[in-house]
Amino acid sequence: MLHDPRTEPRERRFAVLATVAIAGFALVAVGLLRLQVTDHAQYEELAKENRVRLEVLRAPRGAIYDRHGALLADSAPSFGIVFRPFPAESTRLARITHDPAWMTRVARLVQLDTLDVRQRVTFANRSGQTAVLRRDAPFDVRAAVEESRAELPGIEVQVEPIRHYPHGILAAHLLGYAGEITAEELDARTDQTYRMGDLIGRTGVERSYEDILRGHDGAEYVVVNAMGRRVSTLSEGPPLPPTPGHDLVLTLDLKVQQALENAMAKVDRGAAVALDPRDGGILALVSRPAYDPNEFSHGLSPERWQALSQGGTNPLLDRAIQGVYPPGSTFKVVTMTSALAHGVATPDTRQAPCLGGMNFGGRWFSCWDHRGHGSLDFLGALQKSCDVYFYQIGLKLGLPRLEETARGFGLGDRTGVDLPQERRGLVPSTAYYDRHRGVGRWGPGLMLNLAIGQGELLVTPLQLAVMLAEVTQNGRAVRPHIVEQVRGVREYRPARPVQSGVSASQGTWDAVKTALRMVVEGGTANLARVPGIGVAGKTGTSQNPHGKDHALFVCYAPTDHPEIVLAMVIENVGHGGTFAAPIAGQVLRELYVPPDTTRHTPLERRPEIPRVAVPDSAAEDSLAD
Amino acid sequence: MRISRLHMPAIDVPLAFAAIGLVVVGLLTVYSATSVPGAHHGLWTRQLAWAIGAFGAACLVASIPFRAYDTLAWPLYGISLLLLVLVLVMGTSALGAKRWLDLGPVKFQPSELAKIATVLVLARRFDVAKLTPSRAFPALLVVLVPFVLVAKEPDLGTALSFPAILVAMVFWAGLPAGNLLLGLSPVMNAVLFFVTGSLWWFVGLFALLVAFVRPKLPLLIAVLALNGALAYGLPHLWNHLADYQKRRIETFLNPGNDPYGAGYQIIQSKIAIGSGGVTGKGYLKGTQKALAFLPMRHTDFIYSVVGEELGLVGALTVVLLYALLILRGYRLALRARSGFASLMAVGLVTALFYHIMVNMLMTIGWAPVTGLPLPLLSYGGTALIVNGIQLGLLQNVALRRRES
Repeated sequence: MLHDPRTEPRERRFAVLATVAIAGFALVAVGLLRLQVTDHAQYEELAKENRVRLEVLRAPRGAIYDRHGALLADSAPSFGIVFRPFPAESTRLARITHDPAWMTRVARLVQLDTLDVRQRVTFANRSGQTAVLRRDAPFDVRAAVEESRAELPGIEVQVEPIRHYPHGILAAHLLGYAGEITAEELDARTDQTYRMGDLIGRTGVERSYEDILRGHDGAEYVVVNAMGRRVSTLSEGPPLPPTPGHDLVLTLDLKVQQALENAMAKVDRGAAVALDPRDGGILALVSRPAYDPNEFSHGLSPERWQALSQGGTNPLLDRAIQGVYPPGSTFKVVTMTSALAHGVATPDTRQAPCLGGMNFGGRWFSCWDHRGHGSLDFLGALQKSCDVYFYQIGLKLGLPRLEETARGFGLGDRTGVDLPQERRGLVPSTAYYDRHRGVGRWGPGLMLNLAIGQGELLVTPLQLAVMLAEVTQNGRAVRPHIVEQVRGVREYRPARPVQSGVSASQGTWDAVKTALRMVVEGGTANLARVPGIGVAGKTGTSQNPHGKDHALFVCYAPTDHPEIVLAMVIENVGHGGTFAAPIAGQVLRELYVPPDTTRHTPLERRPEIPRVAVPDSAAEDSLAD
Repeated sequence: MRISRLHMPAIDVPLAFAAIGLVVVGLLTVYSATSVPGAHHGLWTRQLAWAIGAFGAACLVASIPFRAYDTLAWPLYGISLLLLVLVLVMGTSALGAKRWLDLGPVKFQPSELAKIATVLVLARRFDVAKLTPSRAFPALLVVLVPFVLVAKEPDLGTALSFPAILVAMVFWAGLPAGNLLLGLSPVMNAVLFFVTGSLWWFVGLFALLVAFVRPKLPLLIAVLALNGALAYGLPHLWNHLADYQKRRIETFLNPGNDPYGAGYQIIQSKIAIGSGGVTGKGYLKGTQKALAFLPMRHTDFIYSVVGEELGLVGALTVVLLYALLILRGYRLALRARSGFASLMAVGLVTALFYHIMVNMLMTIGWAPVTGLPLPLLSYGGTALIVNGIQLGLLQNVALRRRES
């Protein structure tokens, strides 16, 4: 130590460290002096007579508009019953609010479940934050609360914004709804930006754009007296104004949505999507049965929630993206495109004539029309939807090529639409059959079913719409999306398509489009015809183990410059041409045929839509995959 | 040798006195803070058990020759990094941050262990006759890894203690202060940019620094380039972020901006301390109602309770005890013959000093709310045991200050 060459500079460095430490502690001492001597009187005053309370300044949730600026969702003021906790040292009052008997009384007064109220009050007492006991309280509850205020310290009526959907049931699944965050969800979140009583988007656009719609709550410090009445604001912490959420402009067109709602009004279960094929913007989306999202804003009774979430028909399910169905003959569009693109057939190739069915591997595969279609070329085969023709095409095509085309059209995977919980559907691959049936234990016979859209194939209505949109764009992939613009954010742009698209010659696309046009002009879908404009489409009737066939239909219009694609599935009703195509026809007529004087145009009127259908126990298995 | 063998080195009595005194104040305050309705009563008995455990840990750690820690440095460091990763993967969250590992009956905060292990590794690395840049630079990585892992929890407050330790230890190992400050200039650059929103503050400060230090040309060019890149990149990056992303970063840097939790707590804390006045309201007589809303009045905001009940007199006494602890600690580093022991002491004391400062300045409203407990005073098992280990290591240095 005596001869350590480092000793001397070490002493200097010690001096530096010691100085830093002393300076730090001196800083604390100065801070203490300021608080406890200079400003002592002011703080003593605050501590003695009054308490400081934090009041939340709620940020209004962003509004949602259609593409022309029509309002679809916004926030409206309502009266809520809240509980403001007392500091624990405000002994008498705080003790009262810790008492279970008191909580029971409050629960009865606001007409809510005792356990629920107890939970909220306890949480508020622990955290010091105001608890919303009841949103949008009806007048009698408010009056009762006002009357017994003296006996119920801490209970108050407060203005609270609630979510309002002016069109009610219209586009309910697409908009979604916002509900109060649960204690479990609060625990699971790591970002700490939500508090008890906050709304959070649960489904639809409300959920997928939660971060953008939500905004940021502000707060101000309020000095209150012993009874919890506001005395003044605190000079110390200036109020932090809330930042409102961003408004969303959707690609949705209210006019199209209303037309689709009207056309689907009599449907019990099913879904329909309208898409702009040029950019993938969703023009309308309907799912049946539906619900009124306003119900969630007012707070649902447990029984009502049960009926909505667990009823046999599951009204909360957005069948357009969460329902999966066998595509049936609508899939023949894929088979035809694939066959033409891979040179398996040309538009005028004829196959062995249809005799109402064909023999394969010792089994009889029948055509939907048992009378038989005779000899057809490819265009005629699609027009008549001849199964026998497509059986033969499927055998020649083989699974890998058909699968590749199907995936190029976006089937078998999520389309990437900006809506939550989209289903994948299913396009089987060779690996899939090896896994499920065993290697070498399946043969080309499967191709017969796949070629006509039966078998394991499953699609969502949105996927069907995307498929047809790609046909109109000559194979260019489109990404379906619902948000057109986020107001206040300059560079919002929809993402790129998930799927690759389909590459095929112009001749292929022309042939497919001609055939689709023939389907409507003189084939299975003549009920979708609209005077004045060309419509092209394909019907489908998909067998399923849960009752009658599902009716499907996809189409686009006008044929010379396609600007709308429609896809729809009506569950368990029968033929696509009979039950689905007319719905498309009605929508297109409403949009494209100028209203005459005899027919009332429903554009200015709210659609008359039946309430949620009675739960039907024998349903929905087809939606499980 | 003139040194008498009769004067065998003993433990550092003032250090021990300060530590035990602070633990006693802590116990009394935890008792007081949890005596209001709605609080967990009886926490002080648990704290007492932890304190006894911490004392045992300190004795154990002090009895093993510090050379053993020198050898164990890297394995300990490895284990603590592993635990930090484990926390991110499967940690328990409290108030939104994942900081804890659940080990059955006890929860454990691996960042505390990582701090000690990092000090040991740095002490081992810097224990050389002359600290060359090639030896000092890899140390940055040693600190960066736990820093990033802890910051990801997210626990920026604890994470920043790693660079604080590094700076003090590099300085103690012999790097000239001027060069050290130049090396730190990119950090100052970023912090000043976020705090003031303009670059000019930093430019002025940097010019002053260069004028005083007069660095060699290659170093100056390197530092200038680094700062230039940062000055160009930061505003660019910032403007590119969406509003809500910016707000997240701001809340991350200064949780006090979040008016619900942190900002509110600071105001309540200031009212409590301010209303205490010079003599305080008396022990157990904390009439101030405000702090009862704080779920953390016996942990992070315990110093507010001291200030309220014991007044300026009590609060300053605590400050003096801490000052005694820190200064005696640095003095041990000065006296130790072994380079490793000396560096270890500086690292450990700096870690303590950092925590004390961040917590105390927070309770008086001069630092952001970071969720760091006050060493030795706050309620909390892991923290107390780790403080015990830290002090045991310091006494270890005292016991063996003649050994090299």
